[in-house]
Amino acid sequence: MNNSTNSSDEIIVIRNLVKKFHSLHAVDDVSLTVGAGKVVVIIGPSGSGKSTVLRCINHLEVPTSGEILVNGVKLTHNSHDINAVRAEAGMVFQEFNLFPHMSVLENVMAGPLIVKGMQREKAREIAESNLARVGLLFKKDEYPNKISGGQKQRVAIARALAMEPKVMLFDEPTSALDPELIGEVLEVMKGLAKDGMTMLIVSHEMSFAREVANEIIFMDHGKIVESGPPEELFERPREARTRQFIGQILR
Amino acid sequence: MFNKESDTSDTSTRQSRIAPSLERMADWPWWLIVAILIGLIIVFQIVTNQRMSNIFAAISTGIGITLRVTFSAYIIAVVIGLFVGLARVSKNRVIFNIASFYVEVVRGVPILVLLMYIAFVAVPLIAEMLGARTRDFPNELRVVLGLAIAYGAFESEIFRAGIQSIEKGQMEAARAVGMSYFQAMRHIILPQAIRRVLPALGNDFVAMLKDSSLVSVLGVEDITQITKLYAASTFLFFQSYSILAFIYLTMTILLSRLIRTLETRLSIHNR
Repeated sequence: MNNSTNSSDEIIVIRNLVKKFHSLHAVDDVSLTVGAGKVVVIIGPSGSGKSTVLRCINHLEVPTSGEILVNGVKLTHNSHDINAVRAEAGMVFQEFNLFPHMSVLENVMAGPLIVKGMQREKAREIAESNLARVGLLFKKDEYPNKISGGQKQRVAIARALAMEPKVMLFDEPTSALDPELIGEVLEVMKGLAKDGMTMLIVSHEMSFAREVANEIIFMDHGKIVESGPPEELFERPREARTRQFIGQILR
Repeated sequence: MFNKESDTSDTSTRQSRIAPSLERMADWPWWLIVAILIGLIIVFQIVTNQRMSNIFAAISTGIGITLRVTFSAYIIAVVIGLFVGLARVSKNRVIFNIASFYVEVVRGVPILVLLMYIAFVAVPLIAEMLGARTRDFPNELRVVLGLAIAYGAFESEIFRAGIQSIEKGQMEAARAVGMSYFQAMRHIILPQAIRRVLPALGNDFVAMLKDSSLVSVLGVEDITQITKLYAASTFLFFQSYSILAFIYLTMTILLSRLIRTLETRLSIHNR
């Protein structure tokens, strides 16, 4: 959508990320990069640390060690940097987490209004254009409890987009949805990919991953087991563990 | 009561035909009927009986002070409660411990004792530090302070519980959009939390109205104090205290009605 003036084409760089919960290594020495305009999908069994990697990127989890750069800004404990990074990285949660006391439009306006201190009219414009982008402008005056799960997740995507992020992080965006509602969310995400949005997605939607991803990363026990382009990883996985997982999930 | 009788003596058809209506009567709010009756008798007495109307006129001069003490102490208590409640969910250990000290100490001391402590110990101490005289602080101010500090601890627990009842994902979503902790609290967490604790806050408002009677021990001329003095000088204990109870009851019932109306209105307008 907006042409990035950033000269570096690596939007996310993670080097040797480690996250420990007490003695458990949730993420164990993970390194990855996401280039501008690329779509990277992380797959793996539950508890493999996929979501934790995602949550470390905008500091919802504090990394134990390692280095994370988002759009060239290094993530430190400094709260100023953290807020800067969060504004660059839109996040979509499994449970949507819409603000129930605000209308759909207000949900999407909240970021521009509160974080950027934007004028109300300008914020409304941005919110409406992003709601139109996810096809929900006609629901703008509804409250979150009046719309379906799929619509909620599309509003959540619009809310993240309203901050005009450099990258979108999706944490199992369709896992809490009824099967018949998954499609509409994936369609929106495909649209974003087509528009050149950089995305890092944790998902179990294999056909979606195969269609949209530039790269698939397979994680298990906090480590990256294998990564590569989708056709390679799905058709000719090198590791036995990957083969086993893909065999199970495609059955 | 009627119910049981009709059950045990359910032999003839005539009785079983009567039973349903008796059963329905058993479900009536008898307590309310009795309460209303007593209330009507008291009102009737006040209107018709010169002595009773004198008592009522005397006591009702204190209603202003009772309401003033209640409202001002409650507003201060809610403000204290909000900030202490926020402090109690703070990750900053110093702030958390200071707030916890306040809450635990105040909740562990009877309100009456706390009132006397603040009026006779804390305020004189502060007065001395400020180089002022203790009697520069009117009694009403001291009791308002005392009630506010006591109830501030209760309200803070209500706010804390409300804040903690909001799903973790709300804070995460707010932070992920880029809001600071305080922006998220103010715009996302508190609006939801306050709506959830409104009934509890309302209850405490009514409780504050009742506990405002404690200020009488410090000589503040609220309705309780006036009744105490009036009864002691006229020996009309039964009449005086009946009217006092009647006034409190009327106020608390009206107040709870008002609060419930406000609550429903809020829940309609905001989801």
